[in-house]
Amino acid sequence: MTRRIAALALLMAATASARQPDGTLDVIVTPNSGQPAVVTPGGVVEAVLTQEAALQLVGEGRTLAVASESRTLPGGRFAVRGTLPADTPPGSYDLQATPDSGRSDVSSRAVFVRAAFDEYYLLAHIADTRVGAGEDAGASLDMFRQTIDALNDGPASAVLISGDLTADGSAEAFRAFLGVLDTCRIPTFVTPGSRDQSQGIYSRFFGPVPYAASFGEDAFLGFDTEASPLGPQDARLQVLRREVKPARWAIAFGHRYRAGMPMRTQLVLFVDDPVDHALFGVSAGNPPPSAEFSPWGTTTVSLTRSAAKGFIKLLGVSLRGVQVREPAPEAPSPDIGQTTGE
Amino acid sequence: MMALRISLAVAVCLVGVGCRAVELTGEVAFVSDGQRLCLLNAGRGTVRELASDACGEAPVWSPDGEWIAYTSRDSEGTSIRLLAVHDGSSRKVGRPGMVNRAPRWSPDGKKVAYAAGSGVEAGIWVYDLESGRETPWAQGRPGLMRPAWLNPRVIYEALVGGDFSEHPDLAAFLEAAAKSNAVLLAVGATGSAEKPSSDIFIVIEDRAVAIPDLVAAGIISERAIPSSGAYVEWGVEQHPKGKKIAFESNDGGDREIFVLDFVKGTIDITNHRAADWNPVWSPDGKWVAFESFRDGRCGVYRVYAGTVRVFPIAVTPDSDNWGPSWSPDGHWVAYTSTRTGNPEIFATDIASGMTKQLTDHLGDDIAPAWRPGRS
Repeated sequence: MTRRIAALALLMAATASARQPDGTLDVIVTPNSGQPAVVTPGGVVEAVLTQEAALQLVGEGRTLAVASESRTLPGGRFAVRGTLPADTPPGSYDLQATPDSGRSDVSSRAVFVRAAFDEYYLLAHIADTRVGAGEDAGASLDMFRQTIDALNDGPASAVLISGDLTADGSAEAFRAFLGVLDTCRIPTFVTPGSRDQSQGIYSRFFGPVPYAASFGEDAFLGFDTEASPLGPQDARLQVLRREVKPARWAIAFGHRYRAGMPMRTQLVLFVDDPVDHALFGVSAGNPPPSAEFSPWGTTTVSLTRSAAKGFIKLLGVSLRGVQVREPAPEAPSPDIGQTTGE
Repeated sequence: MMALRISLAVAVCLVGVGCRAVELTGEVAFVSDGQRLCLLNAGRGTVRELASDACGEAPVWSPDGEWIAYTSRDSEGTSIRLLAVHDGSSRKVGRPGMVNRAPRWSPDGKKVAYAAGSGVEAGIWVYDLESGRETPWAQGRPGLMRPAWLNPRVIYEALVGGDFSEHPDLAAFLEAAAKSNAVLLAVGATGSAEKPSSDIFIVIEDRAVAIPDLVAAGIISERAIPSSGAYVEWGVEQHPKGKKIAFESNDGGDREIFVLDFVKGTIDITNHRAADWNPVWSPDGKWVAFESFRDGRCGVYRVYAGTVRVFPIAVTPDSDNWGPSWSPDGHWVAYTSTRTGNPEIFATDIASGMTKQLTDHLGDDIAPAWRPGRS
């Protein structure tokens, strides 16, 4: 079913609030602050909603109506394709969904509008922030806050964040993580680690995995390295891989690389139509190899040490490919707040 | 553990096309919520929980339908569990401290082959149900994954007319395989660390030899070669009568399903530019069900192996269908589908196209495996 939603700006129709009171996603499933849309003025934003709704962009001191059309998806959801006004100013926007009846929902930092995409840019990768909850939250939250501050002050155009995002996958930990994440001024793409999935609520905060996101001519593929080989991930990965095939560079990222990773996942990502680069975190106490490596001889894999220890990896993305920008560091600094290229 | 629950959607008929559907009967094992091994009565829609420690891979029925082999995870690691369905007793099989996976019953139901170890470090072990012994095959050669049993007669037939004069060692190997009561096929790692690949190996207790090596030696017809060694094979499935094997390979540029007949040669039975994978033979050995992306999303199809004509079984917009399992009478195919939003078990009558939803619950219901001899 496809029907055009009148592009009326129902700007005053309802009181908008961000997510559910408990921090989980509400009407807007994607895009969200962990799976944002990054477009140019006049570009298209594809959203998945739990209710049919009109879309608006809120940010940069204004609210903009988004002309959109929707179709139904399995499970009672709606795929909404919205076209931004051609004069949308660059900046960071919240996406607001206003159903015909009911309360509006706002997805913070869901849409980033750029005047243009550069041929060369820097991409950051961080992993294993392991934000704790309750009494354990202090040091990990401070470290994550300083990491985000460093990204805000740094040259990266976007950041990929591999799990473990949280220490225990609890709602409280996800809320703490989100509280800091939403201070980031560049697009933030996240994927879960095993801890994030331990209580089965990750997708309620960040939507489904795997997913694909475009960034100019390039594409990011976020996936769950711990997902069951029997589940839906591998089929989705194959579809997404094919969808992003026209991309200049396809960059996959996830929690851990293992030689024993389910074979179907390896075939999809590294063998049949190999992605160009893959990024993973690495276990504490298990330093990454000194050089990048190429499973199956094609995809270049690089591992990033824990952000909880202050590591940020910067990669240069250009016509020449995806290359780690900084040389391998000396031993990781134990100082809280120390960030370094790797 | 033997909890009983009632499927909320008792065989909801979704699509009915053409001729009358064959009655849906029998039992289907599946994995629910990523860990619960369940048994569904397909006719009545009732579900019985058999175990709560399943993980990772589809359950595999013994040929007589009395046992289920499944991968199990506990505090000691990932092992193989052999579960006697009638009384719920089970045996734990596998190498301690290793990841044990891909269990396969021998045709006589007396042995279970499995892979122990991760990725290219895996080796093939065989568990004997009568003695309780576990034995490494191919003398523990690493790099053998995903075993499948092969009828030794196939080896014997492949030998007829072969020239063994220059390769007495390979001739001895094949002679031992032909005389053996049990022969395995296995996908094995080949190539170099910089450019790994895989091939299909013939495996007996004390040795494994890659099929391309037998072809290169002139012992098996080059028509039988599954690949030149430059491609990556996976998903080896033996024909129910052991005459040939289906396997998948990216030979040709994208993933396709091939059927290897040691005498007649190898043919691509799914030839399409989209990926085709996970072949599953029908009980009569005439059809192969498989997954394909030829219509955009992942769908379940069947191909008649003799004519390579392809028919859709389950293809739905904006959702995926995967993991086909044939009913024992070959009339129905069960599979997992996300057409209702989350993974549920469905079954389609292949003659009429009638589709029934067999499970309906908030978690994931995946990996259906139809119980042999019960429909």
